[in-house]
Amino acid sequence: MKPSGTPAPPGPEHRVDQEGTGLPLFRTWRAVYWFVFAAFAAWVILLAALTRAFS
Amino acid sequence: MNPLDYLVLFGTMLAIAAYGLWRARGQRGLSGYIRGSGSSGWVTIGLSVMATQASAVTFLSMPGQGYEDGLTFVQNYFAMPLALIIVAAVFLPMFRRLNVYTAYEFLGRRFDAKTRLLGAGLFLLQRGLGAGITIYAPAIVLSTVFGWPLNLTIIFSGLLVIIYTVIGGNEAVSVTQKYQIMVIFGGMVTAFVILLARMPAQLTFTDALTVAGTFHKMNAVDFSPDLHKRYTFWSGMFGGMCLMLSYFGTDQSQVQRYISGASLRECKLGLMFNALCKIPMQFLILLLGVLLFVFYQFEAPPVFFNQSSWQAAAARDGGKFHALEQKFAAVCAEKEQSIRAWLDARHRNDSSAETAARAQALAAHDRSEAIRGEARAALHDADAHAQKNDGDYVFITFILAHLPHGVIGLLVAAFFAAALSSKAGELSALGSTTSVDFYRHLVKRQADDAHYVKASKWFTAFWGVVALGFALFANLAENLIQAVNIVGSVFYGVVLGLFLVAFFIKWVRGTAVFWGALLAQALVFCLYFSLKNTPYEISYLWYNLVGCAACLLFSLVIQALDFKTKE
Repeated sequence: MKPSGTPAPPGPEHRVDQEGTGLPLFRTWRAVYWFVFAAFAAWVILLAALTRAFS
Repeated sequence: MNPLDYLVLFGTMLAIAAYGLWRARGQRGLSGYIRGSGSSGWVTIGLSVMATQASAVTFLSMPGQGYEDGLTFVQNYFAMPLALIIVAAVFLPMFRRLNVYTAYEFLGRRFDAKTRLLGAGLFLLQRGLGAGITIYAPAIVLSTVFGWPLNLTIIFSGLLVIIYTVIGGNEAVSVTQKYQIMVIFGGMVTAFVILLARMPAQLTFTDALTVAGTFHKMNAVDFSPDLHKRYTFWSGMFGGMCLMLSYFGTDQSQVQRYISGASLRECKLGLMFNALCKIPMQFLILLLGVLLFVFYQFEAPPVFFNQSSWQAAAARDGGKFHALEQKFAAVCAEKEQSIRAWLDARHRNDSSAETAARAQALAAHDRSEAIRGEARAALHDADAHAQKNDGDYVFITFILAHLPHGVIGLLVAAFFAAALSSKAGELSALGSTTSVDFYRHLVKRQADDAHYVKASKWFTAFWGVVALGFALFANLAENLIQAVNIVGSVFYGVVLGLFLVAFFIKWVRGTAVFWGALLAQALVFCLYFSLKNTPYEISYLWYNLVGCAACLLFSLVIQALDFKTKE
C-alpha cells in the first residue's frame, strides 16, 4: 500500500526537500532509519538483560 | 528555598521568556506566526519536539514512579522510535508537500470538510483537557511543598506562558523550548550526580542495582501477555505504537513543531534525534527514581513523602501519627542493618549469610510497606480529601533535603521550564487549529493575513484562559502522569485511524471515514467506562489500538456497504 493524497505542484520548498541526509556515515534515509531501528533493538536487549541480571 | 534559589528560578524563567519574545520580534503574516521563520535547524526542532512531549510531570513525577514501581514505565516508550520512523518517512513528507498549517488541513484535502473538522475537534477536546493538567500538575506539588498559594502558582506560570506564546507565536515557542530543555537537562544531570555522590561510600553501583533488583525495581522489560498489566512489552509495542504514532503524526502540538523546519532534512533529523534519545532519557529518569529508592534504604525516609499533608493531619491527631513515624523509623533502621549485613556477606562471598540477611531485609521491607499503608489509611481517616499517593513528592523531598541552595532553584526552574515548554506547544497548537481549521474555514474565509494573525492570538489567549480555568477549578485524578496519558489514549486511537485511512486506503471516502470514526469513538467510550474498575479492565494503552482498529474497520465496512448500495 502506498500513501495516497493530492500532492501540490512542486515549488521552491519542494526542491529543497529533495536534499539527502547530509550525514557522513548514512547517505540515504533508509540507512538512517535502519540505524535508529538497530539502536532501538539494542536498547530493548540491554534492558531485558538488565531485568534478567538484577531481578 | 532561599533568595539565591528564587533568583535562579525567576532569573531563568523570565530571561528565557524575554529572549524568546525578542527573537520573535518583527515576524509578519500568518505563516510566520504559526510556522515561525522557517529557518529552524534540526537541533531546535529536535529539542522543541522533546520539550513539547516532556512536561513537568515527566521530571517531577517520574522519579517517584521509578521509586514506587521501578523501571517498568520505560516500556511505554518502546514504540516511539518506530513510530517516529513512520512519521518521518510517510506523514512528514506529505505535510510538507501540501504546505499545510495544521495536520487536519490534510484531512480536508484528502476527504472533506466534515472529516477535517472532526479531526480538529477531537484534537481540541483532548488537548484542551490536557493543557489544564499540565498547568495543574507541577503547581499542586510545588505549592504543597513550598507552601505557596496554589492558585497564585497556577496563575503566575499560566500567565507567563500565555503572554510569550500569544505575542511571539511559534517562533517564540521554539526558541524558548530550546533553552528550557537545556535548563531541564542541566538540573536533572546535576541531581543525578549529587545523588550518586551521596550514596554510602562502600556501596558500588552494582550493589545499588542488586539492592534495587531485590526489591523488584529493575523490572524494565516484562514479556507477560497479561492484558490487565498496565505496562508490558506488548502493551508498549502495540498500544504504545498507536499512541506514539497518533501523538507525533496527528497531534498538532507536535506537527507544528516539526513542519516548521528549514527543510525536510532538518525536520527528519529532528525527529530521528528524538527517536534515538527518548528511550535512554526516560530510562535515566526512572533510574534516578530507582537510585532514590536505594538511597533511602540507607537514609531514613519520611513515612509519607507529602510532608505538608502529613504534618497538617498530625497537628490534629499527633499521638497516632507520631507512633506511626516511630514504628516506621524502627523498621527502616532494622532494614538498613539487614541490607548492610547482606552486602557485607556478598562482598565476602558468604552465600549462606547473604541469603539470611537478604531474607531479613525483604521481611523488613514488607513490614515498612505495611506501615506506609497504615499511614495512608490514617491520613485518609484524618482528611478524606488528602492525596494517598505520595510518589509525586519523592524527588522534590530529596532535592530540598540534600541539594545545595542555588541547585534547588535550578531544579525548581527546571520543573517550571518543563511545564511552560509543553504548555506553550499545546497553546500554540490549540490557537492555530481553532484559527485555521474553524475560524478561517467556517467563519471568515476572505480576510487579510493581519486579521488571521490577530484571530490566532485571540484564540491562543482563549485556550490559555480555558487551561487556567480548568487547572484552577478541576478536581483532577490522583496520579498525574497516568491522568495525562489516559485522557490521550481515549481519543488518540480514533484520530490515528482517520490519518491511516487517509494515507493508506485510497478507496475510502470522507463520509465513510467520518461515520467510522464517530462509531469507533463511541465504542472506545463504552469500553472504557464499562470496563473501568471491573475484573476485565485493560491497560489504557490498549484503547489506542482498539480506537485505531475500530476506525479502520468501520470505515472499510461503511465504504463497502456504500458501494454495494450504489451498485
